[in-house]
Amino acid sequence: MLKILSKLGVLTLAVAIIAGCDDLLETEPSTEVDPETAQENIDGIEAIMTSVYNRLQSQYRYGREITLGPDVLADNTDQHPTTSGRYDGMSVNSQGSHITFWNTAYLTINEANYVIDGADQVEDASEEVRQRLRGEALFQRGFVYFDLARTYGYEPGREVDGWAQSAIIRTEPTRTAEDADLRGRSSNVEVYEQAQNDLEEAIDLLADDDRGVYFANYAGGHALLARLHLYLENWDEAVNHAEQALEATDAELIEEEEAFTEDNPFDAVPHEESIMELDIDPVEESLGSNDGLCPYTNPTHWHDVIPSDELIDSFDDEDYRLNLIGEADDGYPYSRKWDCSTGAYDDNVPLVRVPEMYLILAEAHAEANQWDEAHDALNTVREARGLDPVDGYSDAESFFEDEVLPERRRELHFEGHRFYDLKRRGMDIPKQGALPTLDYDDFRVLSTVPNGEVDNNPELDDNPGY
Amino acid sequence: MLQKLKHMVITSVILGVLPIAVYAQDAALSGIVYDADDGEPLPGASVFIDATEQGTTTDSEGQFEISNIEPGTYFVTISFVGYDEQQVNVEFTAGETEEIEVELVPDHVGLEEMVVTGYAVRERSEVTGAMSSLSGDQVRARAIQTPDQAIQGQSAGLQMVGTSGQPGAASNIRIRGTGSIHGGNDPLYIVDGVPIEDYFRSDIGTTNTNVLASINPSDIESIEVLRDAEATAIYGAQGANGVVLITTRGGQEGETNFTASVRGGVHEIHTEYDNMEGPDFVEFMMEAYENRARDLGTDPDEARQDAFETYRSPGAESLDEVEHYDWFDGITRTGNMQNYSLSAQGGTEDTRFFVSGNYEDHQGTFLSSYYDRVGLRSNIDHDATDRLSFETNLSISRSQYNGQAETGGNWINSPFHGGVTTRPTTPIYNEDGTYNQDIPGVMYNNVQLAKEEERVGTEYQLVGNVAATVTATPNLDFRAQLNADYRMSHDRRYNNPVIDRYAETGGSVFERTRQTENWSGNIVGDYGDTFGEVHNVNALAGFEYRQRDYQFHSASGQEVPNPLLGQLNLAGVASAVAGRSSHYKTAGAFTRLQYNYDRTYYASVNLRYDGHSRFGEDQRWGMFYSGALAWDVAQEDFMADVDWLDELRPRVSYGITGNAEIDDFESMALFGSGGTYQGSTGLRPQQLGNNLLSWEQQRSTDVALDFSFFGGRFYGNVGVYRNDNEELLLESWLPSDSGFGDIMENIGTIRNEGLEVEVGGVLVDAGQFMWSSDFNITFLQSEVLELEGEQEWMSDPNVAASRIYVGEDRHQWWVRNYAGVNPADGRALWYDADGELTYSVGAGDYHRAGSMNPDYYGGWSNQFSYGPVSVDVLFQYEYGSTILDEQYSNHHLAPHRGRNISNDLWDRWTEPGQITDVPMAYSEGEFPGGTAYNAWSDRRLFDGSYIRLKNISFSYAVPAQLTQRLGLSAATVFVQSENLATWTEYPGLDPEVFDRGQTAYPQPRTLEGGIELNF
Repeated sequence: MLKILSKLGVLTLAVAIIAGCDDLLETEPSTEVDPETAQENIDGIEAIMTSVYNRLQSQYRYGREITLGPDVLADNTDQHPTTSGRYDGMSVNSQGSHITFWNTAYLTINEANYVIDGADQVEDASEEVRQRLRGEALFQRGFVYFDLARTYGYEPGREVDGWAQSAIIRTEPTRTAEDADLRGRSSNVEVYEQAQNDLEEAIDLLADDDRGVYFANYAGGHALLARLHLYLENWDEAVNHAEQALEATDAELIEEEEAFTEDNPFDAVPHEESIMELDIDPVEESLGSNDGLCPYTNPTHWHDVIPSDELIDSFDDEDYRLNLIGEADDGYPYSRKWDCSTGAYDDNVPLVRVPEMYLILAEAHAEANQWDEAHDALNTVREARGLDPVDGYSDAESFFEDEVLPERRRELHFEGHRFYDLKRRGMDIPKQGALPTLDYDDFRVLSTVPNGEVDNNPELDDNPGY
Repeated sequence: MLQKLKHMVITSVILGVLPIAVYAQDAALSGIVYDADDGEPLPGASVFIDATEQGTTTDSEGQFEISNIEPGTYFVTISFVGYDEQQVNVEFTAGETEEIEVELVPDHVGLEEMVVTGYAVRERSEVTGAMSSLSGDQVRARAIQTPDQAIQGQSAGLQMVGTSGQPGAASNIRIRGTGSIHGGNDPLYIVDGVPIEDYFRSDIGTTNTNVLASINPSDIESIEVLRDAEATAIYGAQGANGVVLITTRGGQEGETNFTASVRGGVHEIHTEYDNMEGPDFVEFMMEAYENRARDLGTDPDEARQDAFETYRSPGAESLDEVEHYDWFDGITRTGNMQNYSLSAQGGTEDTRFFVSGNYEDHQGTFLSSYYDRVGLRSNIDHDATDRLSFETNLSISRSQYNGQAETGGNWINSPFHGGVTTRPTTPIYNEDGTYNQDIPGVMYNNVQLAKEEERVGTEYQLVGNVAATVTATPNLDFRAQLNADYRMSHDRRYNNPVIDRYAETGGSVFERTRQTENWSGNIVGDYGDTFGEVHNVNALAGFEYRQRDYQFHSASGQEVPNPLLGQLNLAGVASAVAGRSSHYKTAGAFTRLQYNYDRTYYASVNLRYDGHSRFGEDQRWGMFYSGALAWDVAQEDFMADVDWLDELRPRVSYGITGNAEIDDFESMALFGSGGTYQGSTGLRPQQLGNNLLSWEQQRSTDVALDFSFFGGRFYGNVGVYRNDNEELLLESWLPSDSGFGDIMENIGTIRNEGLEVEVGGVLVDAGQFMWSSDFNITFLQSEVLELEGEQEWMSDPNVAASRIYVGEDRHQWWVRNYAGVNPADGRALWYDADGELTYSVGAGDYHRAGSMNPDYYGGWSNQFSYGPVSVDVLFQYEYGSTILDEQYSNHHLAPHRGRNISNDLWDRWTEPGQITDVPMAYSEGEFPGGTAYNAWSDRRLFDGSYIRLKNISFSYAVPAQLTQRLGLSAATVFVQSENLATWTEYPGLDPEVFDRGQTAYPQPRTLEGGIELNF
């Protein structure tokens, strides 16, 4: 009996010793890598930069939401009578239906921070490559902060009831749970400054070397800065950057009618007018039929978001751009800008086009009382689109309201400008059809911070009204 | 070894047949029945001649007599509750009375019965933990595809829900509630000692396939459900969710016996939504448009005409001409099934075997859904010497099914959503007989999809083991077992371009192959002895190692125009290629010590030291344990006079088990795939690391009473338990502006408490007629004791629209609060957070609307037998759950995207002052500025209580006379039905859901008939 028990004891002891050996349980992931491997050489940093671009394709950013949402929130679109529900809420500005990309924005920012930090630290790269990576990452970070600032907060000087909160600023990568401290939102001035600084630093770094139209590039940096200063109403800066963007870019304004009647300039890859364009590989990067941009608008798919009567009525008959609005078999109009031209669910998305720069010049020159330049810039676009030139304006407000704003609408419709253009000027948001106008001081003008964030983070306030 | 032990119960019969002459044409039978133990006559025993269906019971002297027996040779069956049944072959001659004497041997139910426990077989009485057993007979007799379906309603503490009516679909099983939030809640399944991995299941077409799909229910010897820590602690880290042990049949020494069975039947849809017919639908939509026009101040008549033109059937000029097309009828059908099994068992003194083969084929109730399975099994055990034996159990199976998009959302290409809600005015076919592809509202012709689209999953599984047992001494043996569980699934989807919606990609094909290799092995020493006749000791110790490797590859292609050539390598465009692999390792050392004094006082201890590669480097190992005490009062001397009491045993156990059901590399900081851009592949931070991540622990206390009366005629147990799941594996929230949403930590505690009752017995025993019945009920409640720090609630990561609150039941619906219809204007009203009525509510106005967990559930099984006829009836029930019917909600709350709607909407508000729950018909489903009528709200929640007649079966044992003539040893004919009737107020298709009824395939009603032959 004792003998047996001792045998059992030895056995138990033996297995306990084997079991105590930790090597027994060593495993390594084979599909993922640890942070050290990911960041130890320049290839890893390049790969993180690629992820940042991939985020830009998300349906929560230029893959769809920021490209289409600003038209839906205002009066450029209407819903097809038998919608599948896509953007139904946003089209009537129902509470909580707004452009939302908070999470995607901060995933992008964190990854950009990894690149900004890592590009300095890796040793196996030339200074040129480091500069270019750092420049692209700063560019993308500035771009996101600009989007956050115009979506989640008011423009400085346009606050309603003094509400100046904007986005949370993070400029260091999160490497451990301790880095993920609770933060509140910075002011609109601070966030616009962050965006401006990032973009300015980016153009310095990209001045000698950029990767062209599909990437963060030098001309695009100036173009975004021109847009940013337009929002901040720094007219001279806006003019300055728009001119530099036009000087630096290879893209040119299309002036031929055939480009619109025979072809569709938005089917070209890249769009000839693109200073910067988002490439979407229909095989690897498609957002698919449920989430993609053209599935929302095209009759071959849901065809939920259609050009509003008000948008269509804003065109003169001879306007070449009227060709960009088609009529579907069921008689309802559709935008041909998002034509599923590169794949079953996909288009490339121009991020900044040349005509926007001319329209910025027009607006900014007018505000600075430089009327010749203002008329020239506007007429450059008008004439390129088959319209007669205008002249004789001397009042910036009427020039903006009667000419620049409608021209921006005609030129940039379905490209994510309409709502922001009205908001940045502190204007009420007109709506399509019989829907009531959304007043500028209505809380629904600002988007809402995700509930889970506000609920869990005592430092974080949601926008008023939510 | 297992089979040997199980058949150690020895029976015997002593009988004599003496012919006595009487003067009559017919024969007669008389005799006396004794108790073999004490030699006393046995009153009330049943004596029955199967072939002539004549029978009687013994009188107070144990005597009986049957007359008027037609001459011949028949089997006479003598039976009595608590005794082994005896059969005697008697030759009856005209005019003579045959006399027999029979001794029946008590079968000692609950005493010598052997049960499978962790790593060893034990006598039932030695088990001090909470467990339920199900015999193979109860499994084999059912019209089911997978063995887990057999335990539904049969064990206290066990809640099972079939996830889908697709034959062969997965089921959800929860033992003693849901204790974990992020960690898995599925029990551990062990088949013949082989842990079955539930890491992935084929899910291409419909719901997941069943984890036990490789096990033919006909091959099962027994199923044990282990519930408390005492029963499961030997499995340590894997035991917290309970353990289901499945043992397959073995061979017995003797002649080879064959069993063949053939079954066939139908699957029927027995539940349907009450949706509108074509003309009604158009009329309702006209009213809805008119109401909106009045609201907007536009022309109501024009709006009515608009609605008519939008929703009419093609060509209809007036409401009278509107056609009705029954889409539900179009996508459903009466399915059928067939099942063929053949098995053989036998053996010599040294070698015993059981082999079986099975093929089954089911055509489901939804168009084109099918399931077929072929399985082979070979179980062999061999005694090499007196001290060395080998055993191997091996099963191989292939199952295949075709299904439709089903779970996970309201897919318009799912027959359960798109099919059900297609406008009733939309024709299924064009006039020329081709499919109508102009389907407003849902865009897909779901009949065409079912016919033309392929969603085929094929699964291959091999489960096997090889074991060697060395008997070192008569009291000590060592057993080494090597286990393999290998599963491969191949999923294929082909989007045929004849379907317009797929034409734009030129047709596409998706194929995916996944496999897991799961190897494990253990060495166990098992010692048992008795000292001084009263000290019974068992000691078991062992070591186990397991590793799992998983990988998948998938690829898609577009431009695959020809369905006959729908192969990847013929795709014009390769579109997406993916692959991944993952693995884990786990090891543990364990021991169990059991002692009892004269089968009266019991004590046992389990210990297991377990390690798992998933956890942080310093936290991989954990100690799990349990201890139990029991006292069988009935064995005490002072109870010796209480004859009728067999067992009265209070027992108590306490222990800690673990849960490691998280992703393989959850504790590590990782960078993973970051998509692509411009031909480059991205990398992005995926999760933050936590070196301190460790086991989730369940602290479990169990107090119960086992009892058995009248020689086992009545038996049962009553128990209460408390399980505290502590240090939950749970995502700790991080601000998403950090770039991460959460990090896995050990935080929070959830308590599950319950009362479990299992009672059973032979209620009626009147000669040939016998009624035995088993009933179980489980009352349970849960409470979240703690989440992270001061956190008061969190969103339930598993169920949308629900939250987990500290101090509340594990699961709370978190939805808008519907207040009914404003009688003045017909608009929907809601309560805001302050309880005020409003037309529009936001995210801050949600409220808690009940728990999905039932208050109690259980089952009631009955067996009636009358001679050769037996009837089994099983009910199962659940009470007090609040469940969400997402699918029904889409068409019974408001017009929705121009799709078909429920007749419930006719209760709409039509005039001021009217009191109703259904708002005014309104084309957009909501007034501008109001909350959508079909938004997530308690309008979508329903009482999920139900009672279901889960199974009823009739079987008839063909008289021996006839079977002998056919050269058979026995034959049974049976008919049965699954899900024959359901009593419920739930308006959805099937109340058997855990939380929310989505777009689910309802369980069919199955009617089946068959015959089983033994020869």
